[in-house]
Amino acid sequence: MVMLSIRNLSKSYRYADARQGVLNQLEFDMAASTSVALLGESGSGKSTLLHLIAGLDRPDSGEILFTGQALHSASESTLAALRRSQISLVFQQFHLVSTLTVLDNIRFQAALCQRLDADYEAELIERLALGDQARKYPHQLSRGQQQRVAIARSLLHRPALVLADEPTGNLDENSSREVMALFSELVKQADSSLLMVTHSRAMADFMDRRVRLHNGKLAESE
Amino acid sequence: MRVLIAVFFALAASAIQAQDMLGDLRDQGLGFAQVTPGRSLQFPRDHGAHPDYRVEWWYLTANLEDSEGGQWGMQWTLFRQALSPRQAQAGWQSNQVWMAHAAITTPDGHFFEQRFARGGIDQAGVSRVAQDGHFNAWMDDWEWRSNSAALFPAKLKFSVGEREIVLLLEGTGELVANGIDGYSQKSAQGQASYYYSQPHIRVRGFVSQGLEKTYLSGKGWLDREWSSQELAENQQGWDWFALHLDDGHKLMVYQLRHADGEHWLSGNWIDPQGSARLLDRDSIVLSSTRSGNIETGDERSRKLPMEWKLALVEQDRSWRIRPLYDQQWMATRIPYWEGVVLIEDEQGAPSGVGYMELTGYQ
Amino acid sequence: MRTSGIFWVLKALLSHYWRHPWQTLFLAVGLIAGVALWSAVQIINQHAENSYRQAQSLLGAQAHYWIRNRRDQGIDPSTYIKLRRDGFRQLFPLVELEVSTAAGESVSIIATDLLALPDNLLGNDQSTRDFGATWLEFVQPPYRAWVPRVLARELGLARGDQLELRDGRRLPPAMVQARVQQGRRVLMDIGAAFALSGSERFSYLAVGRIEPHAFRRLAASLPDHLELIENQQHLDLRELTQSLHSHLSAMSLLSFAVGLFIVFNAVRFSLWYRRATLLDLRLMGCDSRVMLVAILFETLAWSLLGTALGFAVGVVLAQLLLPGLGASLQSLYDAIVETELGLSPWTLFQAWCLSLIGLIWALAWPLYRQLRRSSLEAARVEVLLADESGARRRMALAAVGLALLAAIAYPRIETATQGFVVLGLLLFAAAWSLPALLAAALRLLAWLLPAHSLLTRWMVSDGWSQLPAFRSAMMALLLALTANLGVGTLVDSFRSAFVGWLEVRQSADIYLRAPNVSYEQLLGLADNGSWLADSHYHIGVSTRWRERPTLVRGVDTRAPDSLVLPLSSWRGESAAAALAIWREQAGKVLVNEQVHFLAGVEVGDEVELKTERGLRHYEVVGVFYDYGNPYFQFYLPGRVVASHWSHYYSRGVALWLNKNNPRAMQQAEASLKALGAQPGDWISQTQVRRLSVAVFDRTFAITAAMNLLTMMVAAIALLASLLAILQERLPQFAQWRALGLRQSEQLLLVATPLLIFCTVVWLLAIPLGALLSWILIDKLNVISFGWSMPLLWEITPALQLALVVGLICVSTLLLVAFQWRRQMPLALAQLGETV
Repeated sequence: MVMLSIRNLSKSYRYADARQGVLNQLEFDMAASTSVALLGESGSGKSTLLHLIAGLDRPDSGEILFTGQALHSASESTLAALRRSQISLVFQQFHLVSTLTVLDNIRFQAALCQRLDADYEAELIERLALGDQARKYPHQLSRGQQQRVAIARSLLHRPALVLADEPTGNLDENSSREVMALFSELVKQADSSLLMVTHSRAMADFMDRRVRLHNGKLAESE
Repeated sequence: MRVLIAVFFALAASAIQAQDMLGDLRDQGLGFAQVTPGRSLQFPRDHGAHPDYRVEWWYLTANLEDSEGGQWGMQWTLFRQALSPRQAQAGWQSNQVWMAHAAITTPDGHFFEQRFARGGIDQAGVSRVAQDGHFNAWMDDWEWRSNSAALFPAKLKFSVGEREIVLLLEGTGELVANGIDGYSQKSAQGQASYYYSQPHIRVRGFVSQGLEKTYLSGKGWLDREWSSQELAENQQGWDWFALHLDDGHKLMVYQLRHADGEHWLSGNWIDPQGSARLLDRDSIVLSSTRSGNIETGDERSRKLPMEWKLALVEQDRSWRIRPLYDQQWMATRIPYWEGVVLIEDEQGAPSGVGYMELTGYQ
Repeated sequence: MRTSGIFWVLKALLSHYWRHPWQTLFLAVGLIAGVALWSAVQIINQHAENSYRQAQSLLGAQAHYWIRNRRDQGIDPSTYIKLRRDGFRQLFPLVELEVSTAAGESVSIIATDLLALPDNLLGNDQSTRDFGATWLEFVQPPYRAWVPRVLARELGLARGDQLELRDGRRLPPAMVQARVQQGRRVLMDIGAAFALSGSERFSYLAVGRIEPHAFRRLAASLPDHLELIENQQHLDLRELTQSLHSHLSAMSLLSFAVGLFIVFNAVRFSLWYRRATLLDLRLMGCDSRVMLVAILFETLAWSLLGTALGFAVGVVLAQLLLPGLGASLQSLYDAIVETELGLSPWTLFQAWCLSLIGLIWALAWPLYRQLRRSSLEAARVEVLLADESGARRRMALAAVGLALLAAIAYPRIETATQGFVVLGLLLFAAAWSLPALLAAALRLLAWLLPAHSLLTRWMVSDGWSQLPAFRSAMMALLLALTANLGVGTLVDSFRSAFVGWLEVRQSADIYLRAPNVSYEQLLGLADNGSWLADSHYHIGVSTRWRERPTLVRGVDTRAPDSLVLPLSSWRGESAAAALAIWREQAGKVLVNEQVHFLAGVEVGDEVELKTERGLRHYEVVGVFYDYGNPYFQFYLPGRVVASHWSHYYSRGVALWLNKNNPRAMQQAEASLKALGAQPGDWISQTQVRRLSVAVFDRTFAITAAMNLLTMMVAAIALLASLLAILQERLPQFAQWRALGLRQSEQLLLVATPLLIFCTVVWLLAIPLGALLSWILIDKLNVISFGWSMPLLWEITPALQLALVVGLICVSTLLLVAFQWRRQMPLALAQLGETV
């Protein structure tokens, strides 16, 4: 089943009075319950694509269909509702709420869409080894721990699609592997899909499928 | 002659700043009593004030000597002005204003004082001679008091700053009507005044300052004049002389300076017996021989003609006139030069004393 | 090399200001508003002070002594002329009149003889030139009325207009111009004043500069009924009005402090943004001395800008506030304040010093500290948080210290200035304890909220992030609210006490003061008619007691108003008993509160009064309220005053009308006219009360204006903080939007802490405001004016302020929402980019 379908997607930005195309009539399909690594040179438009899928930005033309819903023309409130329950985001900067405890941060998005699940929460905390940290505040954690909190937050409400932008970019190589392994496993277990922007081949190998963004178009990659 | 001062007094006070005011005054001028030929002077009535006329004064100058022969000069003047031509009212509604000048030229320098008072409230004034029976002219504590309806004999008491002056005035001759029976023409356009003088006054008195008292004696000159008209438009100022000659003659000469063309010259030659001869433009030759820089106190100095040569054609006489000293400037509201002058004859011998007045020099 | 180094450092540091124009604007607005409010009051105070200094002059002429009729019956012009002709040219005559316009305005008139003013037409000073142009019209019918510009505007007069009076008379044609020391009075010629009043008597004569020997001669030649009084107004006025001016100064300093909080806030924001710049500069090896010079330069530049613009705004403000204050000073203290503002470079310099000190404290010092700190460390969140709580602790400790200091100093307050220092200590103690209290409120709410309400808890907990940004604004708001409530309560209490007092004190129906109407005649006439119920004839003697102008009043002890004289303290069991003692026993006196509070005289003390029969001692049996009067006053029975002073004068007659006679008022007025009283000589109860209350309200108008302006400054502080929060946290907000947060939820996230903070501030301001008003009433008013009154506290003003604060919050939130809408799309698109 195709969960995400992108047709003829174009997006360009104005730089110094000239329009510079980033995405050019891009086509992409992604099935449910799969993981995809989005590779590409720096500046090739990976993050732009991710933002467009998350509804954080609007395309110049083309269609983005998420489970049959047209994101490119959806209202801001529809997009907000979608992000709340269906699509979740993980960033390189973990963007945790500094004034809330680790536990509250994990629960944050699930609380927003009222999908708290105590069992799953306990499982995530255990799997991500955050049990001892639950009462602490984000700034008291290491970077790896903070990213694991962000991952737990993105999964607790079981979104259909997780969008991750260089989720391990801020971590050293060992932690990266460790976090990535756990992440992809948890996504699979939750029956969610994962679209992850990375420039690291090693990280891409954790995914089911790899695509490369080049000259504004996507191509399958080994 | 001093009509001009009073006119200036009125104008400078108002019109310098406000042009429309000058227009007002011209219009109002029509309402004042006018000076016409043929009005005969009557005494003692005419010693008193003439409130229907715009301006008027009682003007005394005196050339005096102290016991050591030092030259002194005194000037005391009471000016009256009507601010509007309406009927003069008594009390605080009066339209009359008084101004008085006093100056003293001493061997140590020249000093002056100026005062103002409104009319109608008896702070200043001249007694109604006909009713009151005696002549009296005053402002605050400055006073000319005569015991009779005549101007003389009289006691004049005034002060200049710390200096208190008391003078006894005695007329030694008849009053002299200037111009034609007192009608004195001031320009070819018809400006004129009523004008009479007493050039024969014997003066005795003293100046006291603190405990110091200086006795003085000499000769005085009184001018009485009233009018309603202002200067002709092209007249800038005047040079005026009242001279006591040692041979007993008195000479009054004035020159109205015209911006264009010839100046208006006039005068009176009075012999020791008191008979006067009117001098006109053709009979007077007047020229300045030296200019002086006068410190006028307003952070500038003015250039004024200080020494003169005066000749009378018919009398075939001429004199050199020079000030006792240059600095006799009156920094009053309308500033001018007035002070003691010394007279020398053609041979350079001292031949008299007098007063000179110079106005309208910028 | 070094100078170019400074140039580049400056360029890097200052570029912040054009990158963030809003915050630059706020910094400027805060500074300018603070300087403006302060300098407006200083300009007014300085201006008033200059006017008092000139009180030895009158209309441009020196006035070292006054010659007055001992019985207040004026001076006959002939007496004056005689003195002039005796050589006393230092004298000039004056007539003062008080008239009511057709519109019911009270207008003061002063008249003189311009020709008699010493050195008037002779001098070359500005005043002579000013007056040269128009004196011809001035001194003769129909005369001219010179009306100061401000007064002309108030009365709606243009050149040539003739102001109509209540009784149909008209003033001479108006000229919109004024002479020095004319104040808010209409100047005219004596002749015009005589025509207007129908009486040809001078109010008094003034004596210009006079030599000792001339003075002795003058004293000897004065007729018996006249007296020479030294003009001590320049000393008296300074002393009498000092308190009023220190009140104003205190308010202006508070406004400056509130303005400074905005500066603090903007600086905090600029520090946040410039951390990276400062770090980079350090890393690039910038000499810290160069950086210090750059910081000082920045401070200097701001101080110059703030002073220049602030002072300019201050001048405009002062011009707006001056007329009201000038009118009050004239009606309360007889102080003639020039209506045209004079500026002194000294005030400008003071304003600059003040802004420089403020900026060093608010801008240079925090910048310098940021600079000194290891910058890498400073960028970390935990350090910032620790910093924040450390700052809170330090401020709370300082607050406790200040409060203790205030508590220790309070019983020792002796002067108004000391009182204001204590008030300042208290206010700052409150302000500095505020961050700790706000933090406590957040903690308390977090504890109270149920564990499962995650979103609510989050919104509350977000307060921790907003607290640093709101800290200064909240302190500013607290100061503004407290001042508003405190001063508001003072004014309300005073007004209520004053109006109540007026009702008792001014119970008569007509007040008559006509020198030409004799009391005996009046009573004789009243006997025939049926309009008079009762009357009270006052006499008085002006004297000096303890170096201050003092009035000894001879009152009719059995008059209706004497029987119920409101006392604040008394001898014996009741006020009525004390009044009875005063009525019936010899040697008793009532004193006003000024005597009690300012001269320290207690009930039971003996006071010594200098009478014409030597010193007399009187026992104080009661203290009466005497609002609005700056002078000492003693009440003695009328016969005592009449027997001890031969030269007493009439202070007027109060008449109570027969309530059963409906035509009493008309009959009374007809009788008064028949006796020769002029229509302006009497005033009805309604009018006198209206005038009194108008004077009162005008006096406090400036207070209300200052309060309003301070509130506006606080509102700006709030707006500045919210916009700063918006700027600083935009990426964070975008992130939350990415998590699916709705805009409304986001607004709630900002609004919740804001509302919590504002509520805490408001709640704190209520008791603080009450405390402030209590100190003002209990200490400062008593010390400054000698007026005591009960404190009247009401909740309504607090509720009104809650509404105002709510409105400020809502409008700033709306502005923020609007800004969000504009900036959020870009912030969302930039998500995930490395900062």
